[in-house]
Amino acid sequence: MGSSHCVAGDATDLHRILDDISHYLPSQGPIKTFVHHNTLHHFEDLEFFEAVDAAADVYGSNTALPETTYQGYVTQGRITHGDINRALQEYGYNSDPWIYGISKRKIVRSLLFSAPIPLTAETLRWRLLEKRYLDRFHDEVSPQKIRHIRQSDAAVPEATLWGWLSAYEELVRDWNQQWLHELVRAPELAHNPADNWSTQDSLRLLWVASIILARDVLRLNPHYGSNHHPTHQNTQVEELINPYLIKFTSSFLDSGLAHLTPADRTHGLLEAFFHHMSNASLTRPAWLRGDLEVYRGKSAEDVIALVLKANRIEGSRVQEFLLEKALILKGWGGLVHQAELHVAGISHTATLAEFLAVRLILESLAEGYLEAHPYVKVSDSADRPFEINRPGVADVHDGPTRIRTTAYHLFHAFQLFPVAGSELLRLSAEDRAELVRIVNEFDSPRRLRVWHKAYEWNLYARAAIALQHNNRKRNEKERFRESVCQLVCCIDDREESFRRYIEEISDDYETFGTAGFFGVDAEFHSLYERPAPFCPVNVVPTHQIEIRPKRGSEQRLFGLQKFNTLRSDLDMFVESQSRSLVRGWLLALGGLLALFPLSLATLAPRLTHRFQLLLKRTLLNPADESAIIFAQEDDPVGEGRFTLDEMAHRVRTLLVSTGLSKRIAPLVVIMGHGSFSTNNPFRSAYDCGACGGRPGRMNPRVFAAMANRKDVREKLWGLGVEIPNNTTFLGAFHNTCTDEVEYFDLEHLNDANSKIFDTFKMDVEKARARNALERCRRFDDTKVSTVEEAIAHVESRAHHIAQPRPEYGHATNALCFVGRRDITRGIFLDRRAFLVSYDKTVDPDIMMLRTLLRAIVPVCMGINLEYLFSAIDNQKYGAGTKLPHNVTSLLGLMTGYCSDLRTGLPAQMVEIHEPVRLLVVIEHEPERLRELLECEPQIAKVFRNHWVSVMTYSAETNSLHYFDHTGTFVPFEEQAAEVKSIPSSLPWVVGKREHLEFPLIR
Amino acid sequence: MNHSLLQLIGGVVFVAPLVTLVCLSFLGLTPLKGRENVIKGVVATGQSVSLFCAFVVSVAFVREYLLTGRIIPMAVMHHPLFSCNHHSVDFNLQLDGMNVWFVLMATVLSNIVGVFSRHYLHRDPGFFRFFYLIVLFLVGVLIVFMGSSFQIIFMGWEFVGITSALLISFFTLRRETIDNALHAFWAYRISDIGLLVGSFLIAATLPGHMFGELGSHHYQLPEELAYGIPLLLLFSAMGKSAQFPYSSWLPRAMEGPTSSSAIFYGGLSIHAGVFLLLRMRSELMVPVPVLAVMAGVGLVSCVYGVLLSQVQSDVKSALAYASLSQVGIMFIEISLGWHQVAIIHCIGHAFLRTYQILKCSSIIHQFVDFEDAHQHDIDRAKAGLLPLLIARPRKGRLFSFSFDLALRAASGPSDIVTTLERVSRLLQRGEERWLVFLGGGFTTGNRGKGGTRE
Repeated sequence: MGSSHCVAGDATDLHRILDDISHYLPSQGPIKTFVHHNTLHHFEDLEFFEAVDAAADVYGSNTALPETTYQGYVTQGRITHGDINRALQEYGYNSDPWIYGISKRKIVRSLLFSAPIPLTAETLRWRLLEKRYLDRFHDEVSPQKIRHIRQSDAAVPEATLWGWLSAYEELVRDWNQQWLHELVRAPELAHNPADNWSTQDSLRLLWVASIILARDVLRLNPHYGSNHHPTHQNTQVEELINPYLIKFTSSFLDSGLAHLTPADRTHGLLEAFFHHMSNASLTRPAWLRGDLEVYRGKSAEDVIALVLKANRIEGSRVQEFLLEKALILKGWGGLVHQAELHVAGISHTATLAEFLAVRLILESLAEGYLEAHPYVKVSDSADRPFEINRPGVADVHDGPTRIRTTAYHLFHAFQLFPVAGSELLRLSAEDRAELVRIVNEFDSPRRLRVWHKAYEWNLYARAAIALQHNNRKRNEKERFRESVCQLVCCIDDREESFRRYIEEISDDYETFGTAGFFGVDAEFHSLYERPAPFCPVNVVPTHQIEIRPKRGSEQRLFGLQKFNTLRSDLDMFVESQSRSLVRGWLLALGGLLALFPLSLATLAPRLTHRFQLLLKRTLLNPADESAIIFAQEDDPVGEGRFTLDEMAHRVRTLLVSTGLSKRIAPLVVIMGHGSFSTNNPFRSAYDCGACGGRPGRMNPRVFAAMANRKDVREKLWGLGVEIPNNTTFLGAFHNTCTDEVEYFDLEHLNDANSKIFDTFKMDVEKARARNALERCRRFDDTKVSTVEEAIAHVESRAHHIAQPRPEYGHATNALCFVGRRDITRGIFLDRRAFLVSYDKTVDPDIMMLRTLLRAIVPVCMGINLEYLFSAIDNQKYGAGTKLPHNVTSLLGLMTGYCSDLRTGLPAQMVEIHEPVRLLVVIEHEPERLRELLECEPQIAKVFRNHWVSVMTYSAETNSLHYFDHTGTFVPFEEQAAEVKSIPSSLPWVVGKREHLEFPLIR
Repeated sequence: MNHSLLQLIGGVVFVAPLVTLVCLSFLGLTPLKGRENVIKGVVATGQSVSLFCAFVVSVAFVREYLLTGRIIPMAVMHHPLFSCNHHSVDFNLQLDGMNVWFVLMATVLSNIVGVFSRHYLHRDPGFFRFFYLIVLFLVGVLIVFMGSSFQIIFMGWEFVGITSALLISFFTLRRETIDNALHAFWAYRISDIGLLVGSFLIAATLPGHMFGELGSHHYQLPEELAYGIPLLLLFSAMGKSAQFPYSSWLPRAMEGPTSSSAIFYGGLSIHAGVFLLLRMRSELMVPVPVLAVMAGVGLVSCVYGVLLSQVQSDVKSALAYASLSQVGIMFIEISLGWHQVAIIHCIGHAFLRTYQILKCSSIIHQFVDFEDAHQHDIDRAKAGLLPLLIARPRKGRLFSFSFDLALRAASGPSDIVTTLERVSRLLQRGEERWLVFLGGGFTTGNRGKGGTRE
């Protein structure tokens, strides 16, 4: 948290503070256009792990998965010992022998595997006494070692032994825990003759050593082992005011749900609040009836300043105080801030200052009331019958308890070294201090980092090895045939499998990946939808494209529009009027009719979908689907239209940067994507991120139309891009939820291309069915095994009103390849990679790479980190489970009927996600990338702070370089003798649920 | 159809869910508890058998009505529970011309919600618990609908109450969920007193009373209870149907999974009170002043519900308040003696509201579609040229009034729970003083320290 030194009331300082605070709040806009972004965007200036820890201090959130989960991954083979060693090496724990031939790395590894679990005093006692943990060594310790330990313990002279034991006795005497004495039975142990020394005796001595060393650790750092972040407990005042603030803010921002709204919504939240309070209302709760005169007529900033002054808060505490207040309802505060920024879709303006001012006023009213009426005081938090404990958080221990849990942790770790108790106690002062230092340093945050790095590296290494092997294999194979059809998809990880299947079907097809708005940064005006920008959120469109009916088909399209209008009118009528008195009564009398849509939607979702399609088809002839044309054809001089130069520039950029322009096939299909699902507030999160969280239907059509224009092609010829005359560009749209593909403007096809298209279309049918089957393996509520079943399943899944996971979205994202498709073609990437086509051979000055990375790094990183944070703490960073979600204000979701606004992703979207940072593999030389980082500070920042991991790949030398923690490119040297090879994807995936390896397809 | 066969089928309507419940209870003790498919299969079988039988019975009844012009109540189950002195309580279930429609509605809705939840609850750690409670609820609701005396109805009434509270607190991670479940639970407990006392008074005054043919006879209650009993039953019905002044528990009940919210507060539980009143009206002579009270409660509730529904800016609360306003209208209809209208209204409302709550997440896209369709006349549409389609937002005083009313009732610490807490503390303090008094010593100095838990 940045510190601030200001005098309360200083307006500019207050503005600065509020601005800073606003960045701590979730920056998620209206949920109807969900744009993925880094949940911790405000912490991007810090190194990733430091940022996560800092954020945990602010939000009380988890920093990684629980340690036990990572330990489980070791047994599953998801993390290998090699991965752990590599991560430990990074922190300087080397394998040089240190005490008794044990290396520091060995020591910390043992600590890693014996990570303390939060234990109460009773559990600990039970484990040690009743479960007899002191009777035998850990299974991993070999008999020879045990014998050695026993011998070295037995050789200790009685006096020394007695010295240690009395130290122990003295230490535990004050704790008033009799069982600790019973555990060791010091007098008996001390007088135990050497030839009678047993394994149990050694373990008892080891326990003594553990307790003594644990005390030393706790002396060095009294907070050792407490990864407890303070969680916010609602006070009585908050219980009183939070619902009021939530409901009032939600009424104020409401865009259509409520029929009664605050009177004055044009002058901000605070004005509306004052206005509401000035309406004498019989029903006003007693605590709200206090005097407001001091605040009335003041601006939000003045109100805040007033409250600060009244509470004598000044200097650096101002920010602390306001941040604390803002974080109580961070979701709502964040939404208000979005309104302040005039984010599209929020129709009323409020500011964070107003939100905080209303909160402070309400607080002062509630406090005043509670002071005057102390008997109202009910159900204090302390008085509550039970506490809800968050799993995985160590409870707050006092000193002795913490020594005991630490000792238990060390006791396990020492057995894994293994080392004898006597050896530990005999250590020299320096060595002992060093051991204590290492233990302390290797506390939970560091352990989690090591685990997380090992977890990530395992995946990175597998991907990198697959890449190298694929290149070897490709060199053995002959060059690809000249392709007859080229498919340009979005870079989306979900298109990876689709492209793979198309390529598997025939070598005639070549695929490319580029951001799914295809460079068409425009606002679209159409008959069906309100004008909206279909481009990345950070691009402000300056152009407009109007889509309107072609002459002769107006009638049909207007008919379709009428039909749509009628249907949504009916929906709206029922929705809105069932809440009124008389019309509601009439509707309820005829309510039996609702049985039909109700049973259709739950019992026969696919049938409903088919029926709707049929109805639409009767109104819109499939032949008419190409009836929509673009305005610029008949009015080229309109305001905001693309000029010829601009069109040519856009077409050229795409064709050249992807490497497509080198050889253009007769048919080039440009395919956007989106996702249709019903009854799903997160629908937009499945749509195309490059289209600003909207379905990318129109962009490919417009791009194809541009590229098909004669004048554009002539212009391009002059720019050195030659599009053959017989080449046709075709727009298409892939629905990633139902795996349906539609094509647009087929009249551009000439006879020769029509034939190619027909074959291509048939192959796409095959590919989409296989793709559906591959997706189905992840849905563990279905067991489809054929492609036909798979298609039926994904279609009905999308249209099922009860389906909380119509598709898994980006849940498997982990990798990003920036380079020619040749380097990745032939690897089974398990839908885990964003594939960006980039041809370094046409980009000598790396200008294109710079533009490309500027566009894709924030997008892919945003997606990746949103999933990552929602997965590691679904309550704090994510939206929790979807099941009790409740749409509020038409802008967001609450859990239940009155809660903070839930931002981030719900549990159902991240449940199969592996939270790893994105690995970006760029096909270029490390030197060139270093140059690039010099001139791209934004990209350099996220690379150097490791918000994404980076590798470079060079196809010529088949070598990879990893951008390591010191910020240098180091050669990737891991080797695998053999990478699995499979004949084709489908048999490999069917019947498997888990994340798979990356085999090569023969 | 053979009458005894029909009786058997009628019995299966109730027995099928009961057997399902027993099966689930045993499954719950085995590792199969974690197997979604097994639970799904068991529940779906029970529910669909029940639906099928209810359908057969209703067809037979329609036929009987067409042939003879009347439907004679059919006893489907008889089981003596206990007797004491000369009173006995028997577990009697029956199907007649009125309740068969409610039973059909209950089985249809539970099937639909069952299918819905199968997908919706997939992978939720509480999958088994949810279905267990839903089946328990179905059993309870069928006892309410099929019971042939008020005492039997009370048994089902309790099942409905407890499952409702347990499903509100389905997600125990948040403290508010538990608070709100407790709130609903206490509202139920208080109102249940009415039915408990009322049903035993009826049993005492009309021994062996069983519901007869619809509208065939009205029992005249003894004069001293002629007002008391109907008022007690009304008191209970108000609680279950969230009528004013109980209404505050209804929006709070929207904490559970959407599908349980739908079947409880859109479909069945909320209409249990309506059913009780229908039973009362068709069995007992209800004096006019009581009917006036009933109509009054209905009127206040429907105005209250509409106002509060319109001020809500979240979809589930809005639907919850809308439900209670329609139930208020049903109370008026029943008090006026429009039984058929009330039945049609009740069943239609149950289906419509269940549908609305189940698909309430799609409301965002519904608005998007609407605005897209009206993109050229959206301002006109909003300005009220299409007033039938979207309500013109009203502002100002009415907002303030309704908003404060809504917040007063349904936010923050539950007033019912806190009042109860306060009352029990007062009692505790009184008891302490009494004990001190009995002990004869005023010296302990406990006075003035009340309110804390000693």
